[in-house]
Amino acid sequence: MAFEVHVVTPEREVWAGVAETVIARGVDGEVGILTGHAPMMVQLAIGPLRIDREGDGELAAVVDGGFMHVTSSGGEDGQPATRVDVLAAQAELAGDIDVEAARVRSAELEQALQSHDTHLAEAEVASIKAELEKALARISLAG
Amino acid sequence: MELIASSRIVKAQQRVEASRPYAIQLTDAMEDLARNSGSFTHPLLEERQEPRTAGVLVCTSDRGLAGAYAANVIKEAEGVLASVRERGLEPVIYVSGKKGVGYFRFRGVPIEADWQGHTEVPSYDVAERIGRRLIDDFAAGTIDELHCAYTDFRSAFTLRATAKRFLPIAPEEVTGTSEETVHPEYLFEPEPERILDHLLPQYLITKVYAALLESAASENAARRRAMKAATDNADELMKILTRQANRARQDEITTEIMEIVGGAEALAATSEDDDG
Repeated sequence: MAFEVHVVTPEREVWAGVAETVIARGVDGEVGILTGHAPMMVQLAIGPLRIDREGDGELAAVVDGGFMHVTSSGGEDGQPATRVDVLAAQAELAGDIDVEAARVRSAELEQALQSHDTHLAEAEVASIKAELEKALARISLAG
Repeated sequence: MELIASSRIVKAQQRVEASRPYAIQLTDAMEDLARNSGSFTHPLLEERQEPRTAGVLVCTSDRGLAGAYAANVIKEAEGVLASVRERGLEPVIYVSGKKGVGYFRFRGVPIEADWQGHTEVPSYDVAERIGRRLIDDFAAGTIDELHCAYTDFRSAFTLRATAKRFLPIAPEEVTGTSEETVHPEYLFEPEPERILDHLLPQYLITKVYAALLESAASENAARRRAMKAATDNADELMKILTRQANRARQDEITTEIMEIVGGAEALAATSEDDDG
């Protein structure tokens, strides 16, 4: 039994299709969705999103946080129709990731963290760390 | 320039369209959260008891040559500022686009923050920066409410300067009107309060992004119209001037011919006298 999946960012719809399983990394741990799942809202961490497509292999993407919203509305044949929406500020399919750029970026960010450790404000450190995490997530998925 | 603006309208419109699924889904998620979690309270949803200041975000353009585009949205913003002052609140101004900055600076009106260089093709990053700043200022109490003046892109011919209140977010706005069934087994991970902490700022940023995109499409439409008017006007002028130039040249030639003919006749007359 398959269900509809949409991966959207504010700038565009990154992917839409039909899947059997969706596995995402929530802030409190991994979450897997199968058809007929209860309605749910998950806050996502920066990490991989795996979509198992019906007979079409697995599709991997990286999402920079956001939310996963699982809904089930009354389907036509009496079966509830499950639908998963992944809402992320940024999302990239594994095939679209520029690994080299991510490597360069992670090296830069690590450098920034080490060399300026003392005079950076706490908020700045946090934002650099988040950026670094995004770059590393891309490398680990595609590299 | 008319052609450049025309092609940009199409692109700007596509960007507006592309941003829609996210906005719709986000609103949907929020409605679900509001319906299915017992408590729906958050600082961003709370009306301030005694507001002192009101922020106004004005979305203008970086460049001119767009007819009355910037002037119209500034006029709308001035309307909001007037009503804010009438309520005894102190306005705090945020500006997107160079034209707006120039306008307020020239009048000596202080600007709290401004963002420039993005208005024709606004990226989500800019919207996020603007949104975060506004949320931080709202949380810090610098502003007690937030209004936004931007240009609504109805169609390439109907551009309407509009003003909306963005903060605090009216709970009715996000709870929706549909009477869908409440799922008792609705799951939240983590708890709804923490999700709301991220969802509401995201909602505001999405609204800012939508306002910027609408404004960008409007700016290009306004520019195309202005440039079309300018081109038509120049064509018309050229026609009139060419006609005048031709007439003047013709006059000159006629005069010259008359002079030559006159001179020749006079010469002929003298030589006849000599002969005689």
